[in-house]
Amino acid sequence: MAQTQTVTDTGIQELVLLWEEALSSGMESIVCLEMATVCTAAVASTFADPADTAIHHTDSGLLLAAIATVGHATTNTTGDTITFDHVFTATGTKNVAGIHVCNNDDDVTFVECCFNAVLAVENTDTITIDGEVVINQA
Amino acid sequence: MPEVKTSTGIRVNYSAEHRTNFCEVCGNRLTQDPTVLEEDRILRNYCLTCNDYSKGVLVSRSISIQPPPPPRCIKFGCMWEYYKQAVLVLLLGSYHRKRVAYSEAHRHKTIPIRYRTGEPSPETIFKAILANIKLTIRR
Repeated sequence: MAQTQTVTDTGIQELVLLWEEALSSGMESIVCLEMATVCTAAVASTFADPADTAIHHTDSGLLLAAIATVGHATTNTTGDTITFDHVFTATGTKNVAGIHVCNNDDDVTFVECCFNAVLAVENTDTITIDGEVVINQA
Repeated sequence: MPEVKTSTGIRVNYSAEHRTNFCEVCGNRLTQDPTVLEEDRILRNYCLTCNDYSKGVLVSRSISIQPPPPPRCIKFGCMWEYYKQAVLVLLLGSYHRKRVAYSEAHRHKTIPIRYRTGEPSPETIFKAILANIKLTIRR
């Protein structure tokens, strides 16, 4: 399976709540997924239940953190793209299968991404995430 | 026959670069600049030998594979083009999975840089098949 990525069902639900100005929060956090084999991103994944048997990293520099940069850009029409960049610095030897991009309340996953293959990081290694979500009307 | 345009909704595109903590220019260990930029909110790697901000040595780079756009008509030409693009996407997915796994398994060895960066990526079905076979043999 190739690298997979998707906006989750709960992410879309949170987006609709944002438009409604109901109780919700925007894109703010990011966390690495731990799994020994390649995962497959799924729309049904949630913050509490990531793809396949993946779980959130809770230590080693790969745990839930505020995204370094969240911004917007233009792909098809003005400002139709949200961008996010982040650098994880590992403090131990771990497997990283993907990432979750989450809301400010850390209870909803907007985007789930599974890498091409499992990254075997060692102490002081870095993983630089450079992503975008395009609301595509083209 | 009219051509049909369809919206493809929300699309996610991203890359993930895995790097070591050794300067990609001089090979010495990097330190972290304690100056935290407000817009960055992260510590940036600094090379004392090069006296500059520097990236670590690249281990692997994961990249998104996007599905082909839907066909715009039901002419044979449109459908054939869509079929070719779909096959290419499948082969590219397999290639990049093998490439990243190969790069991660050989992080301390010298391997062709194209396997670490993913560029250039095979552009045709034939080249993608060859690239897959090469990586299968190399493993």
